[in-house]
Amino acid sequence: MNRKQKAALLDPLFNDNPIATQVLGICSALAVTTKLETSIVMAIAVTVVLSLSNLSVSLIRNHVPPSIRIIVQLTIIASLVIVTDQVLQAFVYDISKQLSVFVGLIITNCILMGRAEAFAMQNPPLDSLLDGIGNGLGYSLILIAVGFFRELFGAGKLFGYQVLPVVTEGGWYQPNGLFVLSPGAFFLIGLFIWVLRTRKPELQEH
Amino acid sequence: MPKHSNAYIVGFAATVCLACSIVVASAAVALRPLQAQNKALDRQKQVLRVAGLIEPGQSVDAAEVQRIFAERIVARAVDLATGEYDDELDPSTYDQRKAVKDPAASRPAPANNAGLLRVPNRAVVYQKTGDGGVEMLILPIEGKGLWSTLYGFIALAPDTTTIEGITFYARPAGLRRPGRRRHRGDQGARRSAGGRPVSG
Repeated sequence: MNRKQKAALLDPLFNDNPIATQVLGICSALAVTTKLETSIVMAIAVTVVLSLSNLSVSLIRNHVPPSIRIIVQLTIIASLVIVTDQVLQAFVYDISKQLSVFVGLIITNCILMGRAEAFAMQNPPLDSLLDGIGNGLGYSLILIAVGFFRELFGAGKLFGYQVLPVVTEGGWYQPNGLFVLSPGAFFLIGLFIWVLRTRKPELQEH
Repeated sequence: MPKHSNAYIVGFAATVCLACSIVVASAAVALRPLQAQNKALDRQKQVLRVAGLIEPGQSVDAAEVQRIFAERIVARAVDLATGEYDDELDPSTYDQRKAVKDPAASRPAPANNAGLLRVPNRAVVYQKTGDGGVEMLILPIEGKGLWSTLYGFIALAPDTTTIEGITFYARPAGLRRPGRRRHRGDQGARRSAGGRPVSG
């Protein structure tokens, strides 16, 4: 793996995280992160779709007529999303029911179009695949962290198991309803961005 | 052929569409049996849940669900016009949602608050059986929720006036949290429907 490929894979984790620094893909990050389990399945789905879409777009990048390149990218992304949705319905039905339309809405996730247009159209297939995996993992990192805190503080649970005994069942933990609602995710993502930009001042915008 | 010519563009678009549709179609066809199996199992699970035979949140494997279902639940078709049992219909293959779209198997609904336009001629009901005969009746219910039509089950005691449980298993859009609103009805549905999809 050369230096550029390493950067394509690892940079999106912290230095160029799609959610925290590019501020892409926020909508789904709010919608599916009330529970850790759904966050993880969504993270895997997005990573798979993103890697494969980057790879496919890159493979045909020299043949795509420039005038229809966006719709071609979108067709590829949409097909991959439908296949992913079908696979989830076949193998993890309960989770796919909970994720419902949000798997389909991966199509509109700005990270996918963003990476296809900004990276895969200019770079060879292997680099694009690594960039897709890297960005998918960067997205996953935030999604899983947000899902962890929302389920823990919002319901006192992790993976559906009671970790903090809640008051309604005789315990001591009073669940914080804010974390179950979308603003809870906004606060968490905001905190992540703050911490990240404080530790890496070069990310700050002026 | 130059990349900017119309013929090339049309040809390229057609090729991409063909390739993508082959991928999507093969995935859909190959996975359909598994999905149908999951759907049927989920329905059985919802019936067991509303009947109180499994607890909400309790994880039960497929074999266990089928075993309890076969042991404790009897599914029967009912002719909704007469209220009589109709044993000619196989309850395990009957799809009420499909029947509503079939003019031969449904009729226009009378005026109702549930926002239903058509009702099926026949429905499948479930009986929870025990040592003392029928212990509970489980009826399919549907109606307009906050964002879309809700489908669920209501469980009645043998006196048919006491509600023992209610659950919703399908809501075409929005974030669903199945099995968490037994005895809570529409309130829970409304709350979680608040997480409606936003694009971008």
